[in-house]
Amino acid sequence: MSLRSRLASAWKALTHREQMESELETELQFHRDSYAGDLIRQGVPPQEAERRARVELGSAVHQQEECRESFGVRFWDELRGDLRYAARQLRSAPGFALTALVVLALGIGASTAMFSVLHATLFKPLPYEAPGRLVTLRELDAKGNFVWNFYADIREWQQQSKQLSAIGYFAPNRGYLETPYEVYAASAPLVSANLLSVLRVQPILGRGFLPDEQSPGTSKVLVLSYSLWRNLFHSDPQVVGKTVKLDDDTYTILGVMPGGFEFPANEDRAQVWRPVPITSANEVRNFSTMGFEVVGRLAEGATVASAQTELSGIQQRLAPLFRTVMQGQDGPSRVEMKTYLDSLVSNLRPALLALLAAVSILWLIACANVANLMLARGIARQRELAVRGALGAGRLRIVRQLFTESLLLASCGSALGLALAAVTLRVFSKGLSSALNVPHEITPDFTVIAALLLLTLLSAALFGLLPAWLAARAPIESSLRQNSAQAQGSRRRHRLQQGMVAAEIGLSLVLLVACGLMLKTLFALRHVPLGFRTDHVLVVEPKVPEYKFRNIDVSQAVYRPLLERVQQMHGVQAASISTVMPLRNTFDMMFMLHGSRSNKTTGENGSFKISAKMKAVGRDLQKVLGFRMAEGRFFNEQDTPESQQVAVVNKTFAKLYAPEGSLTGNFTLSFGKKGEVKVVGVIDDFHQVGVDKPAAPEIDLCAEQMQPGDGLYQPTMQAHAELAIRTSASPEQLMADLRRVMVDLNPDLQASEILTMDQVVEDSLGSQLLAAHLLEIFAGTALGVALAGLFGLLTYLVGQRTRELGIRMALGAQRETIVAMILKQATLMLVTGGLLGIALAWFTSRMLASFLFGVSPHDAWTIAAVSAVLVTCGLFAAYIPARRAAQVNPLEALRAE
Amino acid sequence: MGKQLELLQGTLDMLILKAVSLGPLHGYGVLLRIQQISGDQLEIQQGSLYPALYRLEHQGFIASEWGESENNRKAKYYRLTAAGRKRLQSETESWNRMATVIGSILRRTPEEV
Repeated sequence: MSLRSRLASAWKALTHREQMESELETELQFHRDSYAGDLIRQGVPPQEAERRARVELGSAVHQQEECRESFGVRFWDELRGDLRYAARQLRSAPGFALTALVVLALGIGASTAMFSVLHATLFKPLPYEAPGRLVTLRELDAKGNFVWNFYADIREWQQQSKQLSAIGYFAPNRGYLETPYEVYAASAPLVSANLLSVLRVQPILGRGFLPDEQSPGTSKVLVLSYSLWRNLFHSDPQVVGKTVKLDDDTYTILGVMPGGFEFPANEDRAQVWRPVPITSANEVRNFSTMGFEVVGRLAEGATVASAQTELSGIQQRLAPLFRTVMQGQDGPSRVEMKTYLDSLVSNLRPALLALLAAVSILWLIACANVANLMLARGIARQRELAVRGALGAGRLRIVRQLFTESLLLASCGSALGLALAAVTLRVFSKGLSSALNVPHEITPDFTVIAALLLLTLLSAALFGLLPAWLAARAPIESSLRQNSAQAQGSRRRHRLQQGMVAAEIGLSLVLLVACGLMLKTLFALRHVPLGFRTDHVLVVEPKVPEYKFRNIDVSQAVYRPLLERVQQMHGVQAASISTVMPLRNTFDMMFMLHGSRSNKTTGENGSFKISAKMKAVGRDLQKVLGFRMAEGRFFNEQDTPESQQVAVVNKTFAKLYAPEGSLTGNFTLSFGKKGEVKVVGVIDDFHQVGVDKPAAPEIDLCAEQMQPGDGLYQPTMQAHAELAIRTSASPEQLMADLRRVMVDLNPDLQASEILTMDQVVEDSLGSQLLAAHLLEIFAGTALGVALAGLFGLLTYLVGQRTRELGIRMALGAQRETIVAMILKQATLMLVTGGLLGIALAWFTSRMLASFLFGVSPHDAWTIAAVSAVLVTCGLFAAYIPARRAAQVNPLEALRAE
Repeated sequence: MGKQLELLQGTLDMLILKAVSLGPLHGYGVLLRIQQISGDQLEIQQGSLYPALYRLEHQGFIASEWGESENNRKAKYYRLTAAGRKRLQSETESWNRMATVIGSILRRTPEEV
């Protein structure tokens, strides 16, 4: 009995059913004819002979069933039958089917979307071997501030560490890759020669880097990513050894990495890798030395904690080496280590887990709801099931049939849910990829679809098995004896249904509380005094095609003429340049230096370290934003390239670095070619980092004074610039004009971004806004589903009790009494569910803590308000069936008997 | 027809294998041959014949092909496969052993126990 012959015949039975049936029929016909023939020959009359032949062989249908069972395909036949039956059942109750489908699609769709997001972030499979053993680390000083990873330190770790089997380092970088046809903006990180072997990924063509390719003076080499090889070199198998121009230098191609390989892993551009040259300058431990990011591989048996302890120990011994070169300051004395994946996603974890919790709650509510629907339907179908049982269907067979029905529902629900998830992800793609720092668009992938299948089965089991079991357990006899219209579900079953509705209400209250807290947070954020004016302000981010301007000073060639043209525009009151506008985190320039503080009254001189945000801003910025000066003055017409270079700082800066009082006039900073920069004013703090964050120390240089060639010109004026414009009329009116003027002036400015400052403020609420919107959707859906559950159950119960209600009314019950009776039942569920929800919310809203602003996770007002909303909506949903109950006509109800 | 014996449960498959081992037969032929060999002493439920044939074919012990019957009609013929031959042999052996054992038990008299 070979497996092959079995599979072959079963396959044939399933796929060529008709052919098999007709063959069997032919065979049976032959049998009948031959038998009848023999009987006739024995003297039996022909009619009698044919009858006997038919009777002895049994019915063809029965024979077929038996034969198919011997093929082992009866299970599938039954499944097909069940499915057909289930489809008919669903079609015959479209209201029930539609409700169940929509509810399931919502629950499963939301879960799928969320799984997709989690898969793309927290559980992202990194394209390296054993990625879980990869760690990244950074050096910290005694105060716990992140410093820098110095080459000199990295080399010591490489030599001394036993907990890390290999340590590589890199510096992110960008470059323009030139081919005869196009210029390609690529990510071109500078990496240590051993980096690929730390990641344990080898090129598919050519080779990786050799250690001496890091020494200066050797020929320049690079390794291509697979996508660049395919797109730029048309998968040329002979590419190794060819040359390519990167930022005007000629590089020899060493190899091609496999498809899917990317490093750093959160980079969205096509990549090339090149060895970082190491010279004697890298050996120096001070802040003008290049800093690196580090990737290490944990040795066998080592953990992140043990490696961190070991490296911190090594670093402790290295710290004194910094003193000589860093003017007596302490160098970094310990390291902080994380797994590489953690470093990519750790800031997202709380948000994602909170959302996952929200989605799970929604899914549970959906399951409970569908289970309740099925339960109610199961009771309505009790008679049908009893008939089936009486006709000989086994209990297990009935459970199986009901389970098939729920499986069909769940599958259809999943298909809808998958579509819903795809749509949701597309709609939110912008918000998601900016909030999650995921370069690619998130789509449900294979793993997620597998998870979805699991979810479907689980849903079907959750909402299908219990009602199926209950239905099959019901005694056949009593169900048969009863009329289906008055078949009373047992008390216990009603309690179960009410319990489930209460649970749904409780779970939706959890989401409502979270949503309420987020909305309150948004309200609080929108009412934070920002410290500057946002009305009538436009922000322009001039954008030019990078490759056209890569060797041009955009500040002189583009920004300055643009500013001059805009200042002349009609409707513009004032316009100014600023490296970056407040709340726009498009660009960040951190500035660290050793300041010299000269106190003219005491003659004391001291030095200290300053770390602050640095910007170059124009003298009209105050006119545009209307912030106030705490001390001294802002820039004015006297500040020219020829005059004393001046700066203003904000109050936070002043408090941190000049705590002894007035610093205007007697505070100078020494840096750059010109030597000294004099602080002439202190700006009142305003929210420049985020609405929910206090002001960071900031120092602003005067844009009009800065000249190409100044030390700080490149990182401020040239690297990034935005325009701030105060308009006389509403800013929206000026937008179109402004865009036209910009493109007229310079067609390359086509892609520039123009926003109102109000929009900038709104955008800066990004993560809270996204969380609030998502929660609005989740909570709204959950509330809707739970109320639909409440409404459905009450309607059903009222329907069941029609006769009882008729009797009550015939005996003199008032309509108000009946309404009150139904509402009391609803209130009981609402209150039980509400209390349950409040208890749950008490624990769960802590997960939101990091998102909240100006409101406590246990804010009593929020809880009270959403509970009130819930009870109101709930009573409204209950009032409709209650009124229907009160409108029962006692005569009809009794006559219907 | 005299009084016929009812077929023991589970023996039909073995008899079918034996019947077709003597040469290819169609379904009705199988029935006739078993009755003929048994001298009409066995009663075979015609209804259970075809499920058994299909089961044996499904298990790979017999194979079927369409051919022409003695009266020139299309009929499905069954023949024994190599696996079927082996099966028949082992079934026959275990049947004989079983019959011997059961027979010897039934022959025992009180004195012999």
